[in-house]
Amino acid sequence: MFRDQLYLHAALLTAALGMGCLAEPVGPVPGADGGTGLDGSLLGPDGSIVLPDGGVVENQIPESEKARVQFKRQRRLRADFAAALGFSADEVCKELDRFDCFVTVHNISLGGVDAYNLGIFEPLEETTKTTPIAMERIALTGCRNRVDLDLDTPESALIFKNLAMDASGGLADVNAASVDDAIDALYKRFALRRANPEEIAELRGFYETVTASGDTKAARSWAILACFMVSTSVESLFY
Amino acid sequence: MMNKLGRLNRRQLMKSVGVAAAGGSLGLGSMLASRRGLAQNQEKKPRFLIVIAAGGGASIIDSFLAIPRSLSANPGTIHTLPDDAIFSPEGSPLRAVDQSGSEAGAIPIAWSANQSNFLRKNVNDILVATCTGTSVNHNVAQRRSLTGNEIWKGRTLQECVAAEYGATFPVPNVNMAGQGYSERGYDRDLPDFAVHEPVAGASVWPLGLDGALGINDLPSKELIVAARELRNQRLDPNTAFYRTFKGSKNLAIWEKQRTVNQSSLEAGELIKKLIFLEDSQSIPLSEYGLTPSPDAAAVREKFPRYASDPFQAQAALAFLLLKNRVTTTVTIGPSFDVLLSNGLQGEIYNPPLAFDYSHNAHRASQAIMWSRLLAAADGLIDLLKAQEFDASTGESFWDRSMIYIATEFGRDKTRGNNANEFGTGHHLNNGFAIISPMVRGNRVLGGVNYNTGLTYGWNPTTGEPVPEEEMAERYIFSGILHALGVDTSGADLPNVTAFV
Repeated sequence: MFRDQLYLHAALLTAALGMGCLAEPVGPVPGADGGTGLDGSLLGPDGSIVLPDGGVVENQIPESEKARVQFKRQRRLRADFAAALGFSADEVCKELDRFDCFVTVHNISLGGVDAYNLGIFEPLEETTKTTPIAMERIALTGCRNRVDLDLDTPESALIFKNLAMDASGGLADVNAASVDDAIDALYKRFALRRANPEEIAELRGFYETVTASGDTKAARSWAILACFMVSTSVESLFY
Repeated sequence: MMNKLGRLNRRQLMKSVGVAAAGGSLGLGSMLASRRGLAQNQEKKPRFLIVIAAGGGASIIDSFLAIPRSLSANPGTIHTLPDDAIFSPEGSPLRAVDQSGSEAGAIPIAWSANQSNFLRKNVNDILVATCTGTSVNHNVAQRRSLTGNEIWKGRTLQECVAAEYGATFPVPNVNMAGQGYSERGYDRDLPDFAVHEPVAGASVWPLGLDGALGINDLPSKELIVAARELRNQRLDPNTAFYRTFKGSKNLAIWEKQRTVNQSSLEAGELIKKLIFLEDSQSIPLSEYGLTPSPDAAAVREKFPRYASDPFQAQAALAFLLLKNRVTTTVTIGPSFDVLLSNGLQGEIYNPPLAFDYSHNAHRASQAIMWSRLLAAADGLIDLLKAQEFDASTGESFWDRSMIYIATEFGRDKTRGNNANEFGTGHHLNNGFAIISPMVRGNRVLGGVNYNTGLTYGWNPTTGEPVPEEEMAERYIFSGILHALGVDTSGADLPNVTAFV
């Protein structure tokens, strides 16, 4: 959705609220401003609007009729992941620490082309059976590298800043603001928007799954997988 | 299928004995009845198609239909070859050309090429069918060699085979070739699973078959699976993006790929079955928790240049894909890149532009490339013969496989008077080689006019030569599918039974 349209929605919503009538409520944009609508109204878990008097305006996100969504493809994904993770493009992922994931190994299944070697001049029309796997390998590798850098050198951390850890390698406090900030940073970097409260709660809640598994580096594992989930979300990979 | 003398070969004999033993009776009637039953059951078993994409125009008169100089009325101006360079098994219509040279056009490297070893070994499985194509454009002709000029809604042969046999295979249709040989067919009614999976680098492609294996220092697989579930089931569906575009076809495909397909691929631990690289200092697989396939050593022995020659790496992966029942059809092909073993001091593995270097040096290009293709085919046949497919019938994988050497077109048939080397353009007239125990081998459908170098047609049902006819791509397409037992009901294909 274009920014102008967002502003239009917000203006219409504000006007409607001000008039106290919402015969045809206009949909807010869940999470577009950190769990609030653009007019500052609170959003419920499903994108509905929570009114000051406690009333709820049902979510009205319109479903696109044409639904033209495209996979971002190799070149754009490489650039996006590099930017999101704070690496140069050739640092994001290497299979066996040797072969560039985007350029050498998974190029074609990620929608890349290879005119000179393979004579493939046009990208595939659709993703293939191995595309999601390739993306997960890239995400896990890149996220692992970013998390290790952030945890090892907290003074220059990019995403996981000021994560307080206990002696056993777990998070000292999963409810700490630094955890929320890290989740928010992931969404800002991969989805280009802020995390909404439900997303923060879901990812925070995932820490319990990690600790219940007996993982001995719970904070690190949680951070890698939080990054993994956001970076491989459809919102991150499609446009 | 019996041979020309009406005798059962060793393989067929084993099947008959096995069936008779199973039936508990050696009476002829019961044996034949059992064989009919077996044949019906076998129809449900997969058959495998290997397409070798001979990019650039593999001329059939430079291999199986070579013209000996002594047989032509125009030996100096038609592309004939010295009689002593041509080998033909006694009584066989098939020929092979063994040649060598001191240079390949402008490339000052000596070369030698051999086709006779392949012909000797596989003569009974080789069928040549002549054809006159419809395009001399590389990409267009490549595609038409796989779609029979779009005769069945534009489906490729590989898609037809994958649709017929591949429903339960993890990746039924794998394509490692390029250009028109790697294009998807036009039929959008094709089942999703039959669409080809492209492979860019055969050596490392298996890494893309598991989301985490081979990556060090990750959280446990159980946690990764839990993260996937949270993402797929709770995070994604609640986003405004997803809810807005949930009707997207691309998102629906993605949803299936990242759940059903991914689970299927990972459950098979294919990454452990398909890696043929050696665990070495340069690629220390074990440091990443990986081990080469149990068949890796045998494959590397058969294709020793796998590390430097992408075509050999493709052949290696092709065998492992078939043997491990990952795929029903696989396409491989040498690229247009020049490949030398050791600069100007070594060998020419692949001339620039592959067969299409015939524009500059016809004989050398055709000789080197045919030899290269047949060597890969021979390696695959050996490996597939050694691999049991069905213990109850004694069938090997090769018994149920077919190699189709697809190519765009032939080359010009003429040359400068008695020129030993010359350049040729693209020519519609040509023929295709099909190698399989499932076809009537040691046979040529059609033939070649020794005085013009042009091939001529054949009767689609009897296979008898028809000198005044030429065959279109659709006859090759139909004949291949018939031999592979693909149900072509409703496809309106010509009835081509002469292949079997």
